[in-house]
Amino acid sequence: MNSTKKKNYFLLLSAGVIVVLGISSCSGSTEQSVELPAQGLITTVTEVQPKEFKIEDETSIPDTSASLIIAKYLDGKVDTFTLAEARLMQQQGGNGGHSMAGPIMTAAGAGLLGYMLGRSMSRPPVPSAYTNQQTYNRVNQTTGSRFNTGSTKATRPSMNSSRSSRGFGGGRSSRGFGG
Amino acid sequence: MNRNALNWYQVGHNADYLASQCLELSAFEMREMLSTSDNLYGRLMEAARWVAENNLWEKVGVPSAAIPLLSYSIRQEADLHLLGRFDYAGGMDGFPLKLLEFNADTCSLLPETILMQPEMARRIQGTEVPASWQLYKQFVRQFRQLLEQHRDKEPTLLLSSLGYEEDVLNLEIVRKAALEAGFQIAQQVDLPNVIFSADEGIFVELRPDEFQRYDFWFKMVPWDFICHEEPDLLDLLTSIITGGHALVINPAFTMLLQSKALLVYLYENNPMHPAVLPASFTKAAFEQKSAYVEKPIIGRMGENIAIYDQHAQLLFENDGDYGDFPTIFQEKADINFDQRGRGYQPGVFWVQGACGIGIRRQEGLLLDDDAQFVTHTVVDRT
Repeated sequence: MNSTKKKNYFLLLSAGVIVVLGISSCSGSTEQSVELPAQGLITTVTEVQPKEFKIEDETSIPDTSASLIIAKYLDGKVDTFTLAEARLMQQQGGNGGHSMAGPIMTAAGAGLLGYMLGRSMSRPPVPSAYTNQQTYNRVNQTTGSRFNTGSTKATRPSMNSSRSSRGFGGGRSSRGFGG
Repeated sequence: MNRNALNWYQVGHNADYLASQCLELSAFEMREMLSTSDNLYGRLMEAARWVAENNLWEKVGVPSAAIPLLSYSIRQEADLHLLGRFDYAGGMDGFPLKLLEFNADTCSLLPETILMQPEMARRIQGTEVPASWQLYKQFVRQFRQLLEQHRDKEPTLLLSSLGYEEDVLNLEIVRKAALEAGFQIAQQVDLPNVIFSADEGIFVELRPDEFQRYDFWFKMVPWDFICHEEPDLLDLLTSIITGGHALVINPAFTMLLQSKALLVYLYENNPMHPAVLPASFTKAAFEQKSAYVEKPIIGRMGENIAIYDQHAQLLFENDGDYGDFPTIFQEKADINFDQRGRGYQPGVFWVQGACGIGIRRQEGLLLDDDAQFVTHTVVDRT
């Protein structure tokens, strides 16, 4: 499914622009939380009209970090985006980099992927975002039901330096610990 | 499981690790190994509670900084002990089954026992190994039960080691069982990349400023390592665990069960138990009576062992990383040897109950990192 199109928005990614789920930080914060789905998602959108996409399928996967958007174009080509790239496209609003970013994100974000981009779990996907009613019904009753019941809290630790740390075990011998 | 990962067991210095023969256990021998292990678990827990009630922490190698966590753990966390392996001498061809030690905290041999053993048995003898698949199913069952018992916790599991390949492969088995049991997230991340927050729990920064919190942590990092080598981590984990911010598997009290010093209290409390070897803090208990083995109270991989005959003459010794720890003395057990002088050590897995057997062998008087894994099958013999 690798695209023949060049992903020139990688340059923007390398500059360190990463969307953070729409959470605003406050000075001296201790804990901020947002409700997120507990699973990952593979969303397939298909171009039904020039620059207009609809959701063809949504499949849940165990690992949120492995989430993908697969975009199928009218000319038969296919693109694949990771969740990080999707968030970047959402922030960029389709400006700079990928000409189809806006329409792809509008379509994918109207489905279950929207939850992963910060939409409240109380606002379900709309049927008009899908290729047809049958697709909406199928996804809503399978993948959608798991998303609605399996949410988990993604919490950012305060990293108060005296009471949190990382880097333990670093630089140790590479011997195993299995007895 | 990824075939490339399992190739680690068959290449380079591991090339001879999997024995090309198959050992036959009788059904009686298998049942004895499993039932003895269930019985000994209860006895070991009694001994561990006795140590806690009598504040014998120093004798078993628990530093004072770890006492609050260990005290809490032995009272509250029995259901979190998910995996251990009993290592025995004997148990075959009429040799009495004798406990050498209990690997209660971090144990290995899962890929060999669950994945490779059935395949080897099919190739060598065309038969099935009855208990191997039970071990994995028991894992799934216990993970499912943990989720039921801790509904206040999110079904998110982090698994960590220091990245040594054998540890990673063992953890992969555990990770898959957890996913099958219903965990929605189960990820392996090496210890240096894990964030411990005393008041908030255990996290990994998946991407810059993007954090995942895990309510369960399965570690292939021993508690004795944490206590003696990473005191700051011990302090953070004490707060995290006693504050209810995360559940750690295996729980801290397994450090007691894994201490060789507990074998002394096990014997003192059960002197007539047929599977318990005499053990003492002094060698005087054995001199002029029987051959004996001196081993550090904290150790693994057969390191820092010394073997003496009944006249206190040294028969064998080796070195290792555990030479600074106090030692105990245990009667030397009768080991099953084959015609090539290879001694056999049955291992019985415990997952809230004995299930699964993995056997190793090695030439000489003890098993170390060079031991071979030997597939077994079970036959009904009269």
